[in-house]
Amino acid sequence: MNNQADQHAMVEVAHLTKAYGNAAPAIEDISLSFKKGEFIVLLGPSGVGKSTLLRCLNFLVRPTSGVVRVNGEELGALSKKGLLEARHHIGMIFQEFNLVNRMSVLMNVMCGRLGTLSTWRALTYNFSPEDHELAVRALVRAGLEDTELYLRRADTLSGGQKQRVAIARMLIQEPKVILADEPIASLDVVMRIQIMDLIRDIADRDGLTVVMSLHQLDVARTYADRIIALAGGSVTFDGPPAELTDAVVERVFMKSIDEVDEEQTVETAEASTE
Amino acid sequence: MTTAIASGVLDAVMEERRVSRRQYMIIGMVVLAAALWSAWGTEFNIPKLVNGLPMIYDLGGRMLPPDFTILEDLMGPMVETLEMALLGTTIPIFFALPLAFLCAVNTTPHPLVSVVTRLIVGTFRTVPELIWAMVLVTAVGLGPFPGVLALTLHSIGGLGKFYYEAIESADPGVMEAMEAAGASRFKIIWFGVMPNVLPVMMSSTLFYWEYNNRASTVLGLVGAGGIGLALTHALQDFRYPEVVTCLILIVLILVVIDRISAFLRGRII
Amino acid sequence: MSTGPTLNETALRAGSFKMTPLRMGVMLVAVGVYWTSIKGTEMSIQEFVTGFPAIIDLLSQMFPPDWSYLKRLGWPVIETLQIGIISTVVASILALPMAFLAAKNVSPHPVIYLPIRLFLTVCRGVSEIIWALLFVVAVGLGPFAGVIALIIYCVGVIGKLLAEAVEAVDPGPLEAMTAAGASRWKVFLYGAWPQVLPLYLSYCLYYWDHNTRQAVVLGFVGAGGVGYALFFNISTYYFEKAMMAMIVLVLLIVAIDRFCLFLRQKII
Repeated sequence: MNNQADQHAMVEVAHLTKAYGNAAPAIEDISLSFKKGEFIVLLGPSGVGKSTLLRCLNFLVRPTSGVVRVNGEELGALSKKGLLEARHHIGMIFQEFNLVNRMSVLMNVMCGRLGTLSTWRALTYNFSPEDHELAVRALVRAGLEDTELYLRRADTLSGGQKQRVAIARMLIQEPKVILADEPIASLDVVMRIQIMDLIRDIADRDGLTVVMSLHQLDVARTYADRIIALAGGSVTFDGPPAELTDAVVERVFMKSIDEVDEEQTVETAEASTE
Repeated sequence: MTTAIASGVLDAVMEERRVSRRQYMIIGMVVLAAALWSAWGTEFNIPKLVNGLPMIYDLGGRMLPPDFTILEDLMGPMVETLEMALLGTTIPIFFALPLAFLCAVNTTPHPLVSVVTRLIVGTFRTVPELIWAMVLVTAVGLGPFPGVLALTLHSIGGLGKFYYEAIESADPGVMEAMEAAGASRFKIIWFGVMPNVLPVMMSSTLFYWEYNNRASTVLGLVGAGGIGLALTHALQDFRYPEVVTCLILIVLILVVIDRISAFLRGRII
Repeated sequence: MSTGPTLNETALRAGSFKMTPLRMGVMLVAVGVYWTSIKGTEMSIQEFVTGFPAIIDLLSQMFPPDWSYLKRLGWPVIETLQIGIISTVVASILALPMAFLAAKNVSPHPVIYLPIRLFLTVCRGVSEIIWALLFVVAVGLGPFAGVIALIIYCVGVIGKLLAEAVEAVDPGPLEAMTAAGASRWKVFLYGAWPQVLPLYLSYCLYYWDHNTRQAVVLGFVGAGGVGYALFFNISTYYFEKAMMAMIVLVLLIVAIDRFCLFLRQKII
């Protein structure tokens, strides 16, 4: 049931603008508000500013102007240390998984707890037994139950497995918000569904807010509570999937609906042959 | 997954960690022991260094301001140094390349040939160019000539090693394919191996050019020409401001060489 | 999937060298530089011919080597070995923070990055012998001055190479750790360092070999070890003893080389 706590926005951006150098802004004057537990999909072809917007939400990219507020804290007003702490509660997963290849799976997951690791332990690569236990739990929750994998080097895993490790790394942070940058673009069709189901499941159980950038229409329609479409750095659509008509899609992707359909089909076909 | 399995995994993981940490500890102890033994043997003594630094400062006082009047006279020797390095890097290529093909286990005509040539290359490489220079100066007299010879001999060894290491890391697939197609040994090497290892070889050669420029500045210390000779003379006569000028010039030239080398690397490789 | 260029590509690359005007110009310049170099360094067949007999004479004086000198070389060899070890160990340790501070992508601030890079360039730019001469003034003759010199130079080289390696690292894991709220140095240790570790170890082994050889050279400026024995014997014309020292030196380096090869296989 909705109550006062749920009504307060988890993630808020106001008049957010980011321009790189003297080029035209990647995103311009964006104002949005996401509630706790919402599953948001940022939709659009590549280059419209989804990545930039996403990265502004944890200040991996500093906006040129505007305010970003996560869980009540304004990120721009935080000290360096404050920002690090704020990031502890924001988990992020990436298209290319971004694992450290030479490290073991388990260690990769424990890196999610680097923020809370004491200096001495960090210098000697000495995670505590509790960290190890939390990592194992996170891996199990992320769907990797084959314990033989845990000590293997991360680069020996398949794409789907790697993304699960990345998700485990995010889970160990016990985040309140999940940011996902094209998390399924490098996965095959079967894995895509599994990973999306996993993320949805975690978000529902823990009441997490998810902000995910995608360009796969069908996936967006299936999983999102709310779709925000970007075009040329501004919001052109903001509403539930049901309202995402063909006309809107054409405007977002700047192509006819048939062309969009064809592209999406080709992309899915390519993914299933990997 | 039940908690029983989870703790089972945990135990295995922690045990594995204990074992590998112990290994690291042992390695660390060995290295530490070797280091301490070496420190004792070489009279390593930080307080002595700290006490001695003021003497360098004092020396610095005598060295500065640098005597720039000799810059003109240094130009000749400087150019000589650069020329020595250039020849000392390029001439060896003609010797090192064929030797490398004889050394590398995947292109050598016979394993015995490989062993022998490796020994030869190794010897040339091990003897520091300064010693080659010293010996050659005794034989042919002072001047840049023994310097070039010294650098050449040493570089045949150095380049040879880099070259044969590159050759040995070449993709055997191409060689196999060409051999199956009936190409002669030479063709296999020229068309199969060379194009692939060429970038690495050029990188190594550039590296050695940088190294030889450094080495040739020093060769003058034993009379083998170049700016090192001017440096030695100034040092022996206690003309420290001149010494500093030489040093500054050397550092500047080496920085320029570094830049050129980096530029060439970007263009060629 | 093929793992190398196809035969066609290889053949094409080898057989299609085009002679552009630019390339022609570069070649002419190269020939010109070469010609002046040969003239300038007094390289000529003549010199070689006149010098050759002297070299042969020298060689004859060096053989047979003086085997009785062997036992006197015991201590010097150990000293040379020690110089090599301690200078490599200390330089390897000191180069680590340099890699962090001098790498554009992980360094805290350009104010730190630029001066450190400059410092490393100076360390590298001046030859080890000159550093040794300088530090002889501070700590007197003996192996210590040589060790300091080797450390300074080595930190300069390894520091630069390592920093470059860190700059070339895959930025993805770094982004992920930053997003998870790890401080800069932790991001470096866990994101960048694992990627450059094999390279670092490779450099350390390579420079152990290098430093041991340079220890010999530094013996010339009084830093002891086999180098001093060599220097002394050559200057006093005891060529058979010098040859013996040279043989011992070659054996030492070969031993270290083999050991390094063995270690490399274990580590990588």
